[in-house]
This record gives sequence, structure tokens and C-alpha cells, in this order.
Amino acid sequence: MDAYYKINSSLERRKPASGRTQRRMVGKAISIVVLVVFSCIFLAPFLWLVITALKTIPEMGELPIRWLPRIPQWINFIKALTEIDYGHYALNSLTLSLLFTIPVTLTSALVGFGFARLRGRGKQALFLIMLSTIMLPAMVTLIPTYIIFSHLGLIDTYWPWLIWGLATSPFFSFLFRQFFAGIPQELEEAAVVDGCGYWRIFWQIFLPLSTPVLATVAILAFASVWGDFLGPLIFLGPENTTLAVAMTTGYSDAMNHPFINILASGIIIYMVPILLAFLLAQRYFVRGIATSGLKG
Amino acid sequence: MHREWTFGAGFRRDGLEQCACDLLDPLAITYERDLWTQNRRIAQARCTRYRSSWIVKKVYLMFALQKKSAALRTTLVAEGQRQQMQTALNRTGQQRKRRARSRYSNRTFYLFIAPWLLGFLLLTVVPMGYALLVSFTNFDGVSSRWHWIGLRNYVELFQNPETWLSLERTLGYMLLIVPLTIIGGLGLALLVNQNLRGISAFRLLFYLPSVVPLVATAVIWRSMFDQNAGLVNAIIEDFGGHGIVWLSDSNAFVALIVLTLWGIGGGMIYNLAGLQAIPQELIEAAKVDGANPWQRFRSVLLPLLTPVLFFQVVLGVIGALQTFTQPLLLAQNGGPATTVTVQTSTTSTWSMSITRSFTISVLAMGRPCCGSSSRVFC
Repeated sequence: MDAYYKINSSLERRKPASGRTQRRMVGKAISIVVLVVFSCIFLAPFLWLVITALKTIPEMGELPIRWLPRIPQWINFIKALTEIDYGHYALNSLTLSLLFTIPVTLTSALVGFGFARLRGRGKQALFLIMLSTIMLPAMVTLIPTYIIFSHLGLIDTYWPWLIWGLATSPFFSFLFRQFFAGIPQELEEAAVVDGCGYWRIFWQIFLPLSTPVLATVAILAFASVWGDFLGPLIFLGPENTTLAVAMTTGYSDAMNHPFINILASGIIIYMVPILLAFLLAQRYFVRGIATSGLKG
Repeated sequence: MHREWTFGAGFRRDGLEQCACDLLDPLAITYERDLWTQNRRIAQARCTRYRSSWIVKKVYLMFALQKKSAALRTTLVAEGQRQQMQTALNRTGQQRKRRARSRYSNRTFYLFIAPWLLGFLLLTVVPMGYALLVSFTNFDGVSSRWHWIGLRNYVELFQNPETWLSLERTLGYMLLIVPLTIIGGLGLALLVNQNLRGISAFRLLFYLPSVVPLVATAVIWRSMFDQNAGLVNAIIEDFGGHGIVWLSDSNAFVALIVLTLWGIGGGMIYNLAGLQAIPQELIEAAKVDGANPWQRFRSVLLPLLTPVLFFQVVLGVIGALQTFTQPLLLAQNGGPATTVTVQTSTTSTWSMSITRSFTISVLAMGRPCCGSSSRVFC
């Protein structure tokens, strides 16, 4: 009886289950196909960049299009490094990025903590103002800021970036605020009972807890300066400018025709550090967004 | 009434307490006498009179303990416990709020947000006010001779057909790109939210383009859309078509859209985080109730994702209106100035006034956005 029941139930179980697994298999196959197709579309520009970087100039002008270079021109990468003073501009980019990233991360955390954990008159209104400044395009203040900075003699120096860093970024402050608002009140109360001031609460309790957001903000800030084009173009002279500007203007012949292949190889070298940073910090990054960007 | 009669951190500050005793000696003696005679009523009355000073109360308490006035001590202890319990009970609501308010100070708050406040005043308000002022003058940014010309800049600006064209393009770009990125981002997120082997590699792959620096993105797509050496034209020609001059005039708009769509992975991450925050039980429950995948998506996932999607709409609108570098770089050396968005035309002579007018338009658009977004953000 028992055995019969077992067989019967297993039969019963198998029949609908097999149908479901079949459907699931088909669904899986479709998903994989779609995923692969999309991957190709997303990957194609990267691949094409590499192919372009390995071509010669005449090969790029051939009319029935040349898919692959006859001989990969690895020398283009060396040309990219020597045609302009690549190391010098890379160092400029790095200095500028760090000069902005370090202060902006700390000050944004401070402001985020203030808005999340402290009370003061007009806090709500100030917070709304801060949120609305996120929407202000940089273009609006760029030209007047340029004129003001030029009166102060800050053009073609790195001071503006330090000043911008110290002045916080509303978006990063918002990320920090969202994260800090989610930390339990008890932690802070315990510290208060032990006679801890707010500065120490921030510095010794909240900041060490916020590693994911710190990493997210630091990377975003670094990438924003590393990838910025307009800022260095407007505020810096040709000698002090960053890689982004130097590359887009530097790789061209006497007739001002750009060497697209050399530019492509230069861009690849320029991209790699940022992509590596994102890959290494990927886990933190997603966590930082998930814990701070979306919570109500 | 006498909330501060709790036994807590206060008694650890021995040095301070001692100091207070020395200072308040005559007073303390009065309290001592009051206590000694166990005239609790009088003691309390005095306590209320000197309410402002917590030290007085602490001294009062200390003497109560020191003199071992057993009866009073028990009363006090009972009182303290009662109050501790009451505060524990009343932790919610107004009382808690009031307590918190007394503990937090205005000054600390303003000290903490000072970096932003100063930066906002000096780097946003001042330049914007300056731009507003200058937009009523014929200041050209270089020479020091300028005078007041009223609204002439604005009249000139709005009489120029280029302005309307570029405004139209910007709005068109926004109206096209915001829905496309959001739908695309959501679709990708659903696609990579499945339980497949190696799915995280796909996630990473889709996400990667959105972290590529803008300059690099522009160069990549310039090489893709190049008239002779571009992949897009290569594919078109392989299928027997004619190569198109992509990076000029209206075709450049298509290139810009494609370039933006390539970076859809950023939205995907937000959606993915939102999807993974949805409790699995809800989806299971819907399955048990016989909901098909579309119904599960339509009635369970979508409503729960609304805040995330709204967040993206707001960010997307801001981003679309601020687009500047992409068209600038995409058009570089590629045919005539493509004027893909409004900002590209800022390079013309009346750049100051257009900056201003742009401020107005952005502020006008920003305000309703801000009002509704704050509900999501706060």
C-alpha cells in the first residue's frame, strides 16, 4: 500500500513537473539568447575601438570597409604615449582627481550626517534647496564662476577643484544622508550616554560604518573629475590641463586632421584605470547604491 | 516635573560634582537641612525655583544619598524609577521629539552643514546673481566698459530662430531619451535578475558602458559612426546600402540617442537593486494565486518599483537637460557645428544672455520636479 502510494505520488508529481521544467528550459534558452545578443551590442563599440586603434590611417579610408587590420599596429599605443606628453597629463588628471575626491568625500559625509542626524532651524527648507541644486546644470554657473575666479587669479591653477571639493556635492551629500538616516538611533544614544560629542559620533561611529557609501562616493567623484572635459577645458591652460582635453586636441597632424587610430589607443589607456576601479569596487558600489540611493 | 532625578551619567562626573558642592555650599546646606528635616515639600519647591541649574538638583540628590536619609532615599529612587519607566513608555510621539530637540543644538547642525551652505552661497547663489545682473548689460566678459541695456539681450535671444530650434531639440531629446532609458533599463534589469549561471558577468557587461568617461564614450561612438571607417556604415554597406554621413545635422541626433542608450546600464543597476529589495514571498504568493509572468510584473513588481522608477525619471530629466559634453565632442571635427542641443549654441556671441535665459528655463522646469521628487527623496 505504502509502495503503491509512493509510486503513484511520484508519477503524479513527475507529470506536471516535467511540463514545467520543459517550459522553464525553453524560457532559459530564450533568455540566454537575448542576453548574448544584447552583450554583443554592448560589447561591439569596445571591440570596434580596439580594432580602430590597431589600424593604419590608409586602412581606415578604404572603401569596401576593412573589418580587421592587415597587421595589428601595436605601435599606435606607443605613439599615443609619445605624441603628447601622456605621463605628464595623466599625472595632472590624477592630481586633480585626488584634489577633488578626498575633500568632497569628507565634506559630503559631514553634510549628510548633519541632515540625517542633527536638528536645527530651517533644516527641511535647506534640505529641499540642496536637492534642487542637484538639478542645476553646471553650465549655468560655469561662465560667471570663470569670471569670478579670473578676478581672484585662480584660472590655470588647481585651486578651483579644491574649492569645489570643500564646497561638497549635493548629490553625494544626499547619498550619505540616505545612508546615515538608516542607521539605528540606539547606536547614537549609546554614544551620547557615554558622553560622546557629535563630532566624535560622526568620526568614530558613523564614518567607519559607511564604507560602501564612502567607496561609492569616492569612485564616483574620482571618475567625474577623471572624465570631466568642460572644467579643464575652460579653467586650465594647455600645460596644466588633463588627459581628457589633451587627447581630444593633441592627436592631429599639421592640417588639423585627427589621427583617429592613435586617439583610440590613447582612449583605451585612459579608460582602463577607471574601469578597473569600478570592477574592483563593484560589490561595494552596488551595495552603496542599493542602501542609499533608493530608500525613502 | 523633576525629570532630571534619574541616576545616570551625572554621577560619574565626580570632579565636577565636587566642584559644584564647593561652589554651592551655602545653598547645599539649606538643602541638607531641608532634607534632614525630611521636609520634602520645601526641598522640591526650592528645586523648582532653581530649576535652571542642573547642578543644584544633582547636589540635592547627592546630599539625599550621602546623609542616608533612608526614607527620602527610597522615595527618590522610586521617583526616579517611575520616571525612567515613563520616559520609556513615552518614547514615541511628542515627548520624544521634545527631548530630542533639547539635546540637539542648532549650532552643531549649522557647523556640520557649513561646507555645503558656504559653497552654495559662494559658488551657486553669487555666480547666478552675477549672471542675472550681467544679462541686463552689454558686458562681453572681457572689456571693462559696459552699460545697462535692459531686456535687449533677451529680445535678441528669442528673436533668434537658433534658440527655438535648440530648445526644441533639447526638449525632444529629453522626451525621447527618458522613456527609452527607463524602459530599457527596466527590461535589462528583469533580464539579469534571473537565476542563471554566470549572470553576474552579464550584469557587469551591461553596466560597464555607463562608467566609461564621457570623452571616451564620445570617441568610441565617433569611431562607430565614422563615415568611412565606422562599424555602422560597414554593416549598412555589407547589406548593400549606402553609407550615411552620421555626424552632421539631423543624423547626429540619432547618433546622440544611440550613444546615450549605450549607457543604459546605470539605470539597470538602480532597477536591479529595487527588484532585489522586493520580498520573494510576494512573488511566490502571486504565483500560488496563478498569476502569469506578465500579471506578476504588472501587478506586483511594477507598483513596488514605482519609487525607483520615479527617482530615475527625475534624474533622467535633469541629465537630459544638462547634456552638453556629448554633443560637443560628437560633433568635433565632424561637419558643421551640429547644434544638437541648446547648450551647444552658447558658443555664439551672446553667450552671457543665453546662459541666463537657460537658467530661467531650467529653474522653471526644476521647481515642479523638485516639489514632487522631494516626496521620494525625503
